Amino acid sequence: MNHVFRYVTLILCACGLLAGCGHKKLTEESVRNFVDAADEAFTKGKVTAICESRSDDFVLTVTEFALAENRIVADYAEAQRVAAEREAAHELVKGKTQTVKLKELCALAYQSRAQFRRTRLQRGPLQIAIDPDGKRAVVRTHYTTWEPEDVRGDSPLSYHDSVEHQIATKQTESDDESIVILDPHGDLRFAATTSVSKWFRVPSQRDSRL
Amino acid sequence: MKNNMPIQISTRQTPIRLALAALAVTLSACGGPKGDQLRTVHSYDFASCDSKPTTDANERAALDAFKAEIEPSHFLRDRNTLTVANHEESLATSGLRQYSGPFYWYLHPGQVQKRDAERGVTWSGMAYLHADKVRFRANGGDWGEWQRVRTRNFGNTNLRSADRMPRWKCLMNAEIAWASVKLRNGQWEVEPEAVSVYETSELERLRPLATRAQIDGKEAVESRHLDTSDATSGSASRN
Repeated sequence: MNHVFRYVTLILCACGLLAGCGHKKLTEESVRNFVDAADEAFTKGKVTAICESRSDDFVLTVTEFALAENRIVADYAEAQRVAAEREAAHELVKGKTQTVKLKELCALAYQSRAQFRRTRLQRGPLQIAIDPDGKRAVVRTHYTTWEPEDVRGDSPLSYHDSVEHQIATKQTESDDESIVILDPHGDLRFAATTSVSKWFRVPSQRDSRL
Repeated sequence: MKNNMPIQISTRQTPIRLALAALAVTLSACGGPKGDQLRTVHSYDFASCDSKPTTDANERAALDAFKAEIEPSHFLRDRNTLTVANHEESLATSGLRQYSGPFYWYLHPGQVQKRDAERGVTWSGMAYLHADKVRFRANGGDWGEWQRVRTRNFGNTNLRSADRMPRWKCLMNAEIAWASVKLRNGQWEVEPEAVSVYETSELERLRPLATRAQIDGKEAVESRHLDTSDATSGSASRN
């Protein structure tokens, strides 16, 4: 019995190794499902899933442009007009670039998980390009997110307390490019994401939980 | 021994008893909402946060005044739901918001400020209406999913983690309306601070009230333009 058990174990291990050694290939469907799950993990604030979907050496590079700071605009078109006017007036709309590694990303996700749950996300069409060997894919897409911007005011209950007031909704338009790979276990992971984001404030959109 | 005892059956009474028992179980399981709960928060301190059913006559009168001001002038009441109309800037974003119970009417007695005392105020406090779940339907759309109501007053995200939530332990569900309540020269004064998604400057967006025809989807909720350009500038003084 012991021998049989050993053989079965060895065969299972070998199968597992083979799967991890490249016999599994990325497909458009698997990549799409993976991105769908990642987007859902974000809007549900599932920090573990957010972290586990990224490789250990994951790097996020974000370049952020504030299109219409200190004002609330009607929509993206107006925000772009404001940015164009600023540029015409020789005011530089300068992007800020940040690089975030996995550990920092997970810490940020943990701190922001409640905010993620209040964020609405809309994704454009996915462009998926898979390498011929099926081990790596480049995924490009456009995201629009809306998240509430709050301030906390004094509470009549006590000086320890405060009341949340929403002042606007922050809308972000991002062009994202992610590298998706198969990890040694044959699971899909994001290896890197590069994002160029433009954000601005629009009038407060009502919170669905109020 | 017990399991071996013969079960005595009275053939005439059992069906009636069983029917009554079944009826009682059915009624208790789906007999609808518990009545609204009126509670007073006696202590709002970290360690002893505690609320009890309101028995004090003055406190009951305060909650009655709050209820009379808040419910009929903002909500359409059904058995276990309160519905508000959301008259937004556009027809597409206007619609109905519905809250499900059980509903808790909480009173937080406060201290009468010197300035108020000079003006004849003898009792002062804050009252909150808490609901369990909320859903929204925009004009022409379908109802969204029921979601737990989120707190705006009791989350205290700006406090250190140990002191964030414990005060909430004495409260059920989350607030959908709150107001300052004062007894001035024998008259109750209620000043709503927020109802549904709206704060004071936007309370007009709740009127006209929701109608049955709107709930049935036969009529749209009209849009409404309000000039709220200064609406939030003075309300957030902290942080």
